[in-house]
Amino acid sequence: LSMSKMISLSPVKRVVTDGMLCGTALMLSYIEAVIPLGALIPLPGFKLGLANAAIMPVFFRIGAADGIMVSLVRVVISTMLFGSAASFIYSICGAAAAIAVMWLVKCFLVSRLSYFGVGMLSAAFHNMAQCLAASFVLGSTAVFSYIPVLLAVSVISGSVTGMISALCSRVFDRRSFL
Amino acid sequence: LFLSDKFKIGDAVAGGILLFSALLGFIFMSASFFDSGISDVEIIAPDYEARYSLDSDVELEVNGVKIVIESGSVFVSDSDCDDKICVNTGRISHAGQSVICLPKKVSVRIVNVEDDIIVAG
Repeated sequence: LSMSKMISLSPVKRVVTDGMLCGTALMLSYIEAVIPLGALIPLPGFKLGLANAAIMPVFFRIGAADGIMVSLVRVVISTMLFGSAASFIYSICGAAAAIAVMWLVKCFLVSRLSYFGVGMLSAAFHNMAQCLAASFVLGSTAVFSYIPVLLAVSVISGSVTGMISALCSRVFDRRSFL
Repeated sequence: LFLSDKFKIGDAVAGGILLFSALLGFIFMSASFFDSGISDVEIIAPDYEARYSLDSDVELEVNGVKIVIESGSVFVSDSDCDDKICVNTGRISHAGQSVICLPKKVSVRIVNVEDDIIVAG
């Protein structure tokens, strides 16, 4: 039971499920946008990455292509709703890094990790990709001084998103769900 | 094989590797804490680049970000940005530390004087 299988869906159900989880990811992005996190944890480039909690189950349960599409659509819509041209660069770089991590895990480490590990790794690489993007935008490597602390906090934030993903993945297994 | 929804040993290893990397990063950074050399404040913004001695008393505004250098430390006292992360970062006083305002594209960093080339401001 702990090994959650890919779920096979009819094309219509697949589109509906992807859309629904994209909506969930957007809702999580909204929650993240209204939390004044900068006042509590003043780290440039740090995000809780709550949206990733909805992306991971899509990627690992429905399909990699679905995960990539949902992530891309999520980034574009959340930028239009709560972001700016500048925040789009950071979001897309972070999302691409997170997806790359998921892809690597899917290829090489899927039997050794769970949603918790994937959550931590994708949070860490998401933050580092944003730092890299920021260093190009700022024309300075000063942001790199935040990498150690960003790595440490991504272990915590990644565990939280991983836990939400694991719960989300279990919901998929309820017969009434699909 | 599929991704598990239960915590595995591998997750603990992944978390451990990340924390260890963070620790290495801290150690690497704190090495410069103990440098007794003279430090400069390097400010980089769009179309602006300057250096001030960390021992100077300077107040300046760059791209809407108010930067204050006083008594061997530097901080951002106010900014036009929305998130105020730069203001909340507080004071920094050691080489290697930085205050960043991403929305305003302003970076303030303390550097060792020996490290560098450009001297302006």
